[in-house]
Amino acid sequence: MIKFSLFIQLLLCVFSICYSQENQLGKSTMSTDFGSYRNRYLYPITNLKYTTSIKNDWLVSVRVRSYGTLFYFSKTAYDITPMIEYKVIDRQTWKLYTGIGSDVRLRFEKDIRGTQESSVEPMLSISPYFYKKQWVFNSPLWTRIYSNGIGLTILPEIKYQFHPSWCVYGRYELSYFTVYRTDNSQFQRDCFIGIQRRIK
Amino acid sequence: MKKLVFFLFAPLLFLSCGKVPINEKGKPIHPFNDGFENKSLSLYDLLLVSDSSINTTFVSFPTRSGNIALKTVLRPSDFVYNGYRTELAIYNSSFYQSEAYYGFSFYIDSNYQDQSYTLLCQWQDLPDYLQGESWTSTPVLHGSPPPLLLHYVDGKLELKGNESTMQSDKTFAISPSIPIEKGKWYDFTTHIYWDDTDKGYIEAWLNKEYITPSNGLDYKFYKRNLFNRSGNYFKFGQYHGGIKPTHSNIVYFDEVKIGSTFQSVQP
Repeated sequence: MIKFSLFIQLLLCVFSICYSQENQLGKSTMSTDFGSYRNRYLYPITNLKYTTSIKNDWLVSVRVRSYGTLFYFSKTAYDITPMIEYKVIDRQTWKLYTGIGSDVRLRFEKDIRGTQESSVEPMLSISPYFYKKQWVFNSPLWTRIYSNGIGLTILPEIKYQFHPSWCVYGRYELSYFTVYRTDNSQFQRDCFIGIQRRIK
Repeated sequence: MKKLVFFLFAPLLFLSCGKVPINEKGKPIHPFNDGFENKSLSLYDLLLVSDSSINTTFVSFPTRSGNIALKTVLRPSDFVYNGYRTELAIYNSSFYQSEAYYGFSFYIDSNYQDQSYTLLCQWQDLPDYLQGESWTSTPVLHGSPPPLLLHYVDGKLELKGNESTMQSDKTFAISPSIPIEKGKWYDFTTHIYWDDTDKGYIEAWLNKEYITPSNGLDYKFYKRNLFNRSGNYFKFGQYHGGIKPTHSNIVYFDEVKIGSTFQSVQP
């Protein structure tokens, strides 16, 4: 059942990208970043993210995270995160988006010493964006809902536009996971640097 | 169409919802007891040997208890994975915020000769599988120094820890160097509370005498002993790292035990 569900989720990701391309009126961006110094050691992670706007007020995005590689293709683990966000506040210097999505965790590593498994979690997002000249600062807050707990992630990102189509950025990710009705919780930290290109 | 997508999406999302990707606290350690009397290594989860018919054999002399002991041989040609080694591994032997006793007897052969170090046992860390990690990253940025190890070099035994998750030369001493006589059995016992903060501790005995220094209250040495919350796993035998042994050396082992009390891991 989980495999079937994952398959449907992936189809929905593809569908959302195709749908958004057909209807997009605004800009699309492709970004890639690398990390990470996670907790207390280095571990390679690659992110690839496609974002496009539809009907001015909507953003559709898909992020693919590959674990254990700086070269996008991983045999061990991926996170695929499709999301749709709606612009609720639009000011000159800042904007606020809220959105929903899902976090598809694919774990291919087979090792009896771990309890990892693939799954999909629903996700809520609230993302303020602040603009000043060539600088953009945004700090999304993601809430993932698990069967036995919750995960909160804040992703502050600072971006500098050095060319009409190109930006560089750095992002810190701080996640807090907690299991309901227990005192079991954990912080997870990751850092990334990346580059973004406007493609339309 | 939108309703169809919603009604398909919502229940599927609910059904496939997984558990929070963090490790449980205080899982019980799996007890282990092997005196090698049945001349089998089937209890071990992993054999890190190049040829078990040469590297790990059973002998009736010397033995610490019972009639059989394990003879480990490490030759200059025994390069397995990324190091010179003859090791046996036991999984599920150290979990986050749990405690356990570990005991085994060892006997350095009278003809043992090597000036470089060998690890008689180590507790090796694991990738945080729940957070997507694995052993085989590209490039390998995370080194694999064991958080705790028992080190034999130049006729002396020393219990050590590793400060760095990245480099194996950032070790620190937990016990003083203890002279070891070749051709004699020693009983090593340790009690460890596993944690990724400095609440983690280890206390250790050689022949039932403390080898960890007193801290004024007891003989527990407090220091982080997990690099992440996946836990460690236990290996014993002979491990030389990347340093090629100059001779074929023999170390005997007997009465390998993991339990919840000091008495339960004695020979």
